[in-house]
Amino acid sequence: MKKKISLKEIVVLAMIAALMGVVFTGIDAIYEPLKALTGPFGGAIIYGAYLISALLSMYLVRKPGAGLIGSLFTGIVNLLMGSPYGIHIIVASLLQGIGVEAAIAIGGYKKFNLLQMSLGAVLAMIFVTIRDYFVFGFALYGNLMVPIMVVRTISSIVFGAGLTVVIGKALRDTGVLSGFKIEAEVGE
Amino acid sequence: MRQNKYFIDKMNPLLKIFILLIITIISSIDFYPFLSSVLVISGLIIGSIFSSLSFREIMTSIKAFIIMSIGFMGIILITRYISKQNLELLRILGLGFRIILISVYTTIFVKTTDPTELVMVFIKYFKMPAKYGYPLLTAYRFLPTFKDEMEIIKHAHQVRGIKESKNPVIAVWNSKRYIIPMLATAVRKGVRISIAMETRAFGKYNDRTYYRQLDLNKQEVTTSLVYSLYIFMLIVLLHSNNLTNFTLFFKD
Repeated sequence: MKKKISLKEIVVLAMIAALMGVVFTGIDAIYEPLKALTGPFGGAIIYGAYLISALLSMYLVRKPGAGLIGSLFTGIVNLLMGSPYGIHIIVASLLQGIGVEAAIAIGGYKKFNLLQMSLGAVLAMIFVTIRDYFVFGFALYGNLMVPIMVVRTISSIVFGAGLTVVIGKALRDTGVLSGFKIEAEVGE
Repeated sequence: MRQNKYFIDKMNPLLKIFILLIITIISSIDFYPFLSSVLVISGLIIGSIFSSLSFREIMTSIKAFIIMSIGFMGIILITRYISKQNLELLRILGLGFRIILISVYTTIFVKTTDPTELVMVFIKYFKMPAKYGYPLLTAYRFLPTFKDEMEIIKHAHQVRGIKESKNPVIAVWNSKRYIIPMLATAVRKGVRISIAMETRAFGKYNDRTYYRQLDLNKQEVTTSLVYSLYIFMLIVLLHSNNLTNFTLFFKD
């Protein structure tokens, strides 16, 4: 059941990652002013959208390692396009990938419903937040920390997992994914 | 890119990653603004002299991050003021400089590094299998194509009488009209490329050779080491004057 990831899937993941890199640069354009205006709190609202690269890769390919590869590819593309976070973004994408992989591995790479994807999103969010804690000095926020975590969790579920499932299903309906595991597992 | 006359532009990306890594680690653990501000200034000077970027070019690309870091500091200060905690002005300033520091060095790194060479570094030094490296390069090459496709889709919408909303919320909601077709064409292209790669026996043989050779030349290594030494001396100097605050966990 657990097959190794094929060249076809890697190339498709890379293409999606490149596209996501562009989309993320677009999100950055919203994220940065929002963060400057409202502080980390406002940034947390659309935070979940950054998880899509790892989640979508996993959702489409459904093999061990897919989330990690998709996430890392997106990170590298984002870095090459001039992300302000530098090497931090590679670390973040690594952690996101690991989070998603861990959550899906708990389900034995069999369950890909909204609940499982949400678990992946939240786990990835927690990992990245631990990194943020050190990098952006979250300890300085003091009491702000609790609402930030709540908003981030909701955002990860709605914008991360929710959007992934919607996009994934829409993409499956276009019929380009023939030969992928998502196509075979119809009806969930 | 190799025949470029500027030193930083032709440097091996591995060494640039090495320096970027040092900067990243320092900026993640130092809570005072002194070290990072000195490093920002030296980065700006060295970047504008030894790379193809001019001082003005670097400043334009980091302008947004300077504004962002000011906003960032302002918000934290206001929240701390409202909740009546210690203001910790110095440390918050350090936090702001952290963002600027990373963005300066990343800008210089990204704008002077050839993507192909970066992927070659991943393959050669970090032992990333070519099976993963080349698809990444292929996909990166498609970025301009994606832009063209976006225009085509936009025109297709226009021809069919769809008007773009000025409301940003609706515009974001409507972006699914672009994202789904873009993703579909990206997947379709990916499948075709993978077939093309497989028919050319990509990844079939273990003894593949590379057209581009990366080498570490002595001059570049020495320069990187000198710069790392400079950073180290700076740390020692500032630390002995109690101007650094290295800590992972911040306490009030």
